[in-house]
Amino acid sequence: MPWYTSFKNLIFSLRGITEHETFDHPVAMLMVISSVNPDPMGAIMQLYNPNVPSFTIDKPYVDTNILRYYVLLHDPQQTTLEHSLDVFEKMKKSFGLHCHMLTLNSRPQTTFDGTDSLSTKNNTDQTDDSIRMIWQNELERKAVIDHSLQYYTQQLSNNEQDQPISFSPSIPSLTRSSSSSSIATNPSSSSSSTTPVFTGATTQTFDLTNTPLDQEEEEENTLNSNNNLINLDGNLATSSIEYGQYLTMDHIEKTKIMVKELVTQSMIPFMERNIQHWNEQVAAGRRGLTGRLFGASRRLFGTSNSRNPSSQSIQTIPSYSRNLPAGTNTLTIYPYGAPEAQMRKLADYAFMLRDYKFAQIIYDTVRRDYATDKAYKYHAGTQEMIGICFLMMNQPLTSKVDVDRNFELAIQQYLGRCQSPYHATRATVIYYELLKSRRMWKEIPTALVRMTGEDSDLRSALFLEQAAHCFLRAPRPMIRKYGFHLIMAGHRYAKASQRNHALRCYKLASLVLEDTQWSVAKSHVQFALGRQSFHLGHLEDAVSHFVHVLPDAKQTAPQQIAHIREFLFIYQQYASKMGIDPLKDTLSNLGIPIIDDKSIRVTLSNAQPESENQDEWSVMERDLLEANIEKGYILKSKKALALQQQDDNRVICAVGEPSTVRVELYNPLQVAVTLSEVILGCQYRESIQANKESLNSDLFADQGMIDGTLMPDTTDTFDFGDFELQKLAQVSLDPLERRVVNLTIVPRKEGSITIVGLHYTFNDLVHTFRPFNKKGKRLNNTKEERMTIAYAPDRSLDILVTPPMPLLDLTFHNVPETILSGEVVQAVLEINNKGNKGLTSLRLKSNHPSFICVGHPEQMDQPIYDCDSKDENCSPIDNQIYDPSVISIPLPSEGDQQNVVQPGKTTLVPLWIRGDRIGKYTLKLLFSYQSEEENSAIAHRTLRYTLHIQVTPSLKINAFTRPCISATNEFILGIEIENLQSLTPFDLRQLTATSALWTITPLSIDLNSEQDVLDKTTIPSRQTTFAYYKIKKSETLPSSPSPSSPEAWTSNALAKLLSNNDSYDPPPPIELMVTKIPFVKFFKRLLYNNLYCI
Amino acid sequence: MQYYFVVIGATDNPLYETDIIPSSRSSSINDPNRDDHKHLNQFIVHAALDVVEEVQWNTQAMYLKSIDRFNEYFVSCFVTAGNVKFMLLHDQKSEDSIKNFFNEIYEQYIKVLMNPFYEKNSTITSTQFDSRVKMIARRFL
Repeated sequence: MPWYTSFKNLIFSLRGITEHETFDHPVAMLMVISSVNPDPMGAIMQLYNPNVPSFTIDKPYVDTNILRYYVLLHDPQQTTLEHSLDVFEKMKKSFGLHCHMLTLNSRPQTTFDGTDSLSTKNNTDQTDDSIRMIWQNELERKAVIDHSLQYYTQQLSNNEQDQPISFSPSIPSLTRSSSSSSIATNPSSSSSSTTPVFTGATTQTFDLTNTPLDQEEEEENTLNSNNNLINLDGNLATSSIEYGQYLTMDHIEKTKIMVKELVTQSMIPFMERNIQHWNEQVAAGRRGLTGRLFGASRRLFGTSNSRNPSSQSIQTIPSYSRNLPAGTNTLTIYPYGAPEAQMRKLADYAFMLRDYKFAQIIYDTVRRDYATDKAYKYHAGTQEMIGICFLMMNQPLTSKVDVDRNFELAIQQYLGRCQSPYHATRATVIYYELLKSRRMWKEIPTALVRMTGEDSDLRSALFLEQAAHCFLRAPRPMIRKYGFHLIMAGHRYAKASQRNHALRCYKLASLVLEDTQWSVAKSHVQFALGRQSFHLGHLEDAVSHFVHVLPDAKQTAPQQIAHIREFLFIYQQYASKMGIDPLKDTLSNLGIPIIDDKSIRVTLSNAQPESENQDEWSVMERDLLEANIEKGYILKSKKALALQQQDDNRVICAVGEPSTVRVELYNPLQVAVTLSEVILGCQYRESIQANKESLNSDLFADQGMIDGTLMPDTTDTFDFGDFELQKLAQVSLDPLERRVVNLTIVPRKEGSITIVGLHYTFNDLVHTFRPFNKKGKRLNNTKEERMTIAYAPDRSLDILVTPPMPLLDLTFHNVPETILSGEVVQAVLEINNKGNKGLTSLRLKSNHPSFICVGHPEQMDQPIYDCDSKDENCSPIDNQIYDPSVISIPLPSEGDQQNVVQPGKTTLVPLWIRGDRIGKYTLKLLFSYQSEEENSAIAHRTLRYTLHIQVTPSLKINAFTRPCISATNEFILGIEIENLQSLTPFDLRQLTATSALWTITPLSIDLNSEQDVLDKTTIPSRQTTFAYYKIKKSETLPSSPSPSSPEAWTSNALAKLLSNNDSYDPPPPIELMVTKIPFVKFFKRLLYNNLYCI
Repeated sequence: MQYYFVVIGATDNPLYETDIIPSSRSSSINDPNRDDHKHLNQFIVHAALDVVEEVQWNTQAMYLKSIDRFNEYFVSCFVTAGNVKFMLLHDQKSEDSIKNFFNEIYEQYIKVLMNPFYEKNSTITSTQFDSRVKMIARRFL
């Protein structure tokens, strides 16, 4: 990533002389003299004056014993070669081998005439670019640094006039001069860190001391330009100044050769000599047990005052460096002569010359001294170097932990004790780069995360991002760690107000979290994304991110309030920028409130709200349809139509008939929200066929708010031409409230109306449209369907609009919730036709037919049991088998029209409910009815009604008969009655026998004695009574079987069956004799045994 | 600091999350900024799953001990036979009590699993489980 690379380069390019390491200390210095100088030897002698303290860098920890290298510049334009050679010989004699003669041009080649200048010009032009490129970069950077430095010093001097400013050791070094840059290009063995020979300080020394040497040297040029720049107050137009414009490629080559010679012939031998020397003099004595003992004893018993202060180990000197932590102006150092400093230098030299193993041993030795002396910066430095040595050694690591420990300690100490975040950062970057080159990805994040303190958000963000990417590069990519570190990086970038970077990090991280259910984490990322997008002006992205955040239920209430407020604000900004009306145009996917698609129901005004057990109902509907066709209520030709309609499961609604859409809204937030302008989104089409393909609700997702005209006589109903819709002005949802909203739709044209979604305005500011996406039932018929999760298309939101129809509305009156077993209660069924046509052929199917008996409207006032007549009477009863679950409900005749309920009329039908079996029962009553007029679109309409009834146990009755001994055709009937109720006593009121043959009279109860009757017919709770009755054959019956008797009919039917005669005549009605034994004057309750005959 | 306990299904989805206030430090209830760490808890635990996946195949034990750390927080993990992970975010090392805690939770989790109406890897909404977890936490943490 480019931003990290430039950060890394910046970190590495910053350097200056520090006390704790010698990499930036000079190793050698160049003394350059021109052969034009009238007294070259004298000038060099003046330069070479070790007694002048400013001769080299004036710091007690910088070793003055450095290599001096003498260069003689020969300009063929000014002097002759012979003269220069002469001077060079003299130099060699007096200064030894470290001499070099360099030939350079510094003047225009005046020996040529103007005629030839064209060719030379061309020549120079050719070389110009390549030569200039050598300087170009360095100079530009130098100019920038100089400029900022200048600015900084001005500021500083303005602020602190009295404080002297020491430049040299603290400022990041000025650019390396031309020679060092050619070293960088030189493939010599020295790494770039071995070239602080030409630090700015050195050149400055030149400038200070060599004023008489105001000659045409390239270094001088550099310096002059340096001065010029400062004088020009940071004029950055350095490109206009051309350096080395008189140099040729030949000169450049010669310079390169000089530098090579300097390094290979002088500098490296010099360093090697020094290493050898120090190793013998200093390090050898310290290694091993004796050396350490000596060191300890020296420290314990030595008299420090007696020794030479320059070789005295640790010192504290005042310093005004800007790299120091604020408030301190002293520096703990070892002077260069101290053994510890020499050891360090030894190790550094060894390191520069790539003897990492040796360097590491020396570092480790000297580290102990630093530790005991509490020289923390020195200690941290050696720790760092030990780690680097380990990693630089070309062999597998013995222990990863050790290396990591070294760096950890180094960084801790740099940060903690030394308060030098620059060094800590540099150590981390070096460590990171080394680990990268060794492909040790798993160790990197620990190292990088260490440097993510609070002091610099930008640096922490950079490191966290790098760490995140390392997780991905690990042999087994750790994606979640990657995401987490990216999020942290994004957070820090945001703190450092690097919004683009933050947005990028969060975006990458959101991909990691995308498909997971870590909702809090996810919404945190979305929120951050929204905010960053907003700040960057990406309003649309911001809105879409906030939409994701809003419905998160796990946030706390204050957070949710904040989210909503921020979202509304951003949305307003977005709307005004995009020029859309937030109240009209739709923001899709707003997740508040939550609407459960499954709970959406379209019902007609007469329906009961609940609708479970769809399958059972549809089976009943089918049966009822069959029965109706069989009985001739419905034409056979309409069967297919009716079945199809039933399969579609569509709501059938007549024109002008209001139907209700029931939508359940749930507010997932802990904050109240308001929805206003709530209205359904509907679509009309002409066809009455069901939509074959499921509607693509996305089509409607972007449609804006719909407009309709207000119906004249209502306040909330709007006319849309094909239909009318109800609009709710405001629905407020309390925190976590679940609320059912009923919206009315009135079709105005025949055809179909599909309900596609819901329009509403959130908090009066954001209009949105929530498409409904209801699924049909789960399909499980084919193998493919079983193997996948497939749903049938849902048509329950697709309303079929038919011509005007009757509409049945039912009300049950007097239906008890609990009745006793055997108890009969009269209820009243109120039939109301709300439709626009007359209602006829009302049929009823129930799932428990024995519980229900529907009477004729005239029987409304009849008592449940006939108790007036005490005598026996006979009544004829139809003796056919029929399905008792489907019955016709007789409707009252009104005028000339039979069995029709006119629109808007109400009629009452009596209904008896009997507790037939003990238990809890759900009576499902399915009514079907038709219009009085023929309607081609629909066969019949149905209405479902559910009653819940609980039947509690009352009496248990056992009966037996045995022949009477006194008479033939007489039997004794014994009835044992047990009261099952634990509290309630029962009174027997009447005994009724219904039979074709038998009549009954009491035996054991004396009907004349009231006391006796009372005793024997009252059954206290949990008691049993016992009574005998006599049954005898009715005298009124003819003794011989008549042809109309059931037995005769059965034998006839059997004969026909045997003779394959298919003719069927219904059995004759049977005469049943009813015998009653009243026990009490006023009857309330009765039990009877019913003997069925066929 | 409160502990954060989460049950993570085999598909890396959180099945059950709770914050546990250790009995020893009930005074920290009034810590004002404890809600700020909610998402951080999730991030830490979610990131630690990477480490769990690495560690779980190298050991026979179900209790993986403390497997990851973030600043001063430790993440301890227990992997069940069905690859459901119990993760606890805590700031004090006490391996034994956490081990006991996990073992008890495992028993409770198995009871949830035995419920025929509980679908594997779906969110645990049982209030009984919740209260049991809190009780166990009080006992061991």
